[in-house]
Amino acid sequence: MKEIYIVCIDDEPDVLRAVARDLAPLEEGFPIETAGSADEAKQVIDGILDNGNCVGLLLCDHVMPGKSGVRLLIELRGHIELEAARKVLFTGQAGLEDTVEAINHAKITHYLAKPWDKEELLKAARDELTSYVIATGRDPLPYMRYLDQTRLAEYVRQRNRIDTGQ
Amino acid sequence: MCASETESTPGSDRPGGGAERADALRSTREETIARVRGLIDTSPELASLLLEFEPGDLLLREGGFVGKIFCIFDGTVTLFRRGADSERIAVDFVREGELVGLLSYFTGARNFFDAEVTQRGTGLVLSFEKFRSLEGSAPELYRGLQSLIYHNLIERYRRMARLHMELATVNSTLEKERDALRRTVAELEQTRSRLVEQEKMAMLGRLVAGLAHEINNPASAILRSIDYLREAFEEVLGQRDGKQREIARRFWEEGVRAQMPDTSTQRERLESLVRKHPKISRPLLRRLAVVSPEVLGMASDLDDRKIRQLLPVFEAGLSLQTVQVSSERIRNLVVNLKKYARPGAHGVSRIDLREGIRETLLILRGILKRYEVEVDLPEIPPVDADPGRLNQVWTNLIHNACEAMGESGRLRVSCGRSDENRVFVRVQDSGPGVPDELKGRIFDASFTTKEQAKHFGLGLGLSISRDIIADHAGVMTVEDAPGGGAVFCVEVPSAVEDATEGK
Repeated sequence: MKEIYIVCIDDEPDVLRAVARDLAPLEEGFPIETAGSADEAKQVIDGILDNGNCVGLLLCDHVMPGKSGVRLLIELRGHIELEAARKVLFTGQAGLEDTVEAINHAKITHYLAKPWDKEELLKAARDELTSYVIATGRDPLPYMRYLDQTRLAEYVRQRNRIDTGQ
Repeated sequence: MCASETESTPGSDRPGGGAERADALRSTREETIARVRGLIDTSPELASLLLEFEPGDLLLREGGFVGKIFCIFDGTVTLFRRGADSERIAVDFVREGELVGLLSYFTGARNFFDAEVTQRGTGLVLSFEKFRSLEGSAPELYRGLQSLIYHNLIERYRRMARLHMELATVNSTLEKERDALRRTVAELEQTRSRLVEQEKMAMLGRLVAGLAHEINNPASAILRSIDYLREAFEEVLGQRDGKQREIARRFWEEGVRAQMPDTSTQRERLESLVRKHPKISRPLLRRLAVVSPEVLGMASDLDDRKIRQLLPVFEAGLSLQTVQVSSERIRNLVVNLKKYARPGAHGVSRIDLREGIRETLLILRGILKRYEVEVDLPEIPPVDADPGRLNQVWTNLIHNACEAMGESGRLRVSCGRSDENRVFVRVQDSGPGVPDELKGRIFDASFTTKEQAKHFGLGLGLSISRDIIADHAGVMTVEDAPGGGAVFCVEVPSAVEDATEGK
């Protein structure tokens, strides 16, 4: 079965490790990959897609040497397979202009400020992945235990009603 | 601008008579006045036309029409006109032998002035009809008055010419004064912003000193606790039984000391781990991928249970390492901030310029992250300088370079010896560069390429930076960088070395 990946991008290894750790409760259902730069992130994503899997959540730092997070997200818009992926900008340093660009052009779906709170990060990731599962029309049952059960249950109910209606 | 002050006696400064001159002008004004007064004094009928004026009497009202001419014999009548804000302005004075009401008489227009008596006196009052009738009834008086009118008109014409001259002089004086004022204001503005910057830096210094103290205490406490924690943990590990103990100790030490492998190495290790241990869950293996293969190799026949025992030991060590590295980073940052802002330290000392540049680069680390930064700081002779003020200059130059480059670019900071007695510091960016026509103006106090408000507060103007360098007997210049961009170059004299010193 196609796996839904979480990809975290940050140039600080300590931050990256901490984020991956905070997201560990989701990892049984959603494998996590990490990348230390925007260019590495592209390779990682290509690898995931080449193996027939997909990316459900991109969690991306903004200020990084080389290419900024917003720039990366804008470049990734060309990927048709990533269109449904949820994009979270995760930063302590984006100015107003960067933020506006992120929303208007990089189509981010959530913004998280550093320093972050573990529960807040987990909740954001859960919400975004729930949206992803619903939007892509997947069978939500395997993900029930990791995600927002109320929303998924509602989704299942709606879907069944439509199915029986037909 | 009061015409009466400069009023001269028309007769006295007039060159000798000319045959072609009009009859009425042949005699001087004084003579004419005397003749007219004589005529009035000797004729009871004409004497009835004489009137005494008291201060405050209004002979004419601006905008009104009375149809009378006044010929003043003594006393003063002041002509007022209302200014733009309806304030009365004294425009002219009418004195002995001069007339009021001529304008209305000749043109029929409404009065141009208020004519108010300001000094008691006497004068002749004639309605326009009366004046015209004098031609027949008292021709001699009529001619005398006409002569006075001519004198009056000529005098007014002369006054006007003089006024124009005065106006021109006053204008040019005013212009000069205005230019001087403008320069003074610009200088004051510069002094003010310099003072504000100085105060800002002093304030920053005080703030940082206080903050540094507050941050240092918890940071030191954290660093101390790390040592205790490590000892305590090793104690706990030591209580395990023989074979387990050694492996656990290696996992622990790996966590405390090992450098984190980069993410691509982690990925490679994860892939081989997944192949090797298909039964162990991927999340567990991903955590294991941080551990080096050597240490991992110590634990033979890895299974889920074993991993769950060893991994926390390793990760505890790794977390301890992170805490240590991070708190050391905080402590270094505080030390640098303190050095950079130099609370209360003013004045010149013998310094190595490179220290201040390094401090500045560290302070601006967050901003510089997105650029490629090349730092080339070979050893240079010391300089006698005020380190705090020079830091403002480095900050300004580096910050400006970043602003010029925008999103990304290449920053090069270097130093060296210009010659035996001078050292230089160069800040080079890969931005659009400074156009030739702006190179001369860029150091002006009023020059800016963007609204100052956008600056984050440490970017004081280039003019102040240049002044600081000038105070150090140095110069600041801007050039084109090879391959585009700008280079700002600061050159200052190196400290005069002691004669006994070898090098």
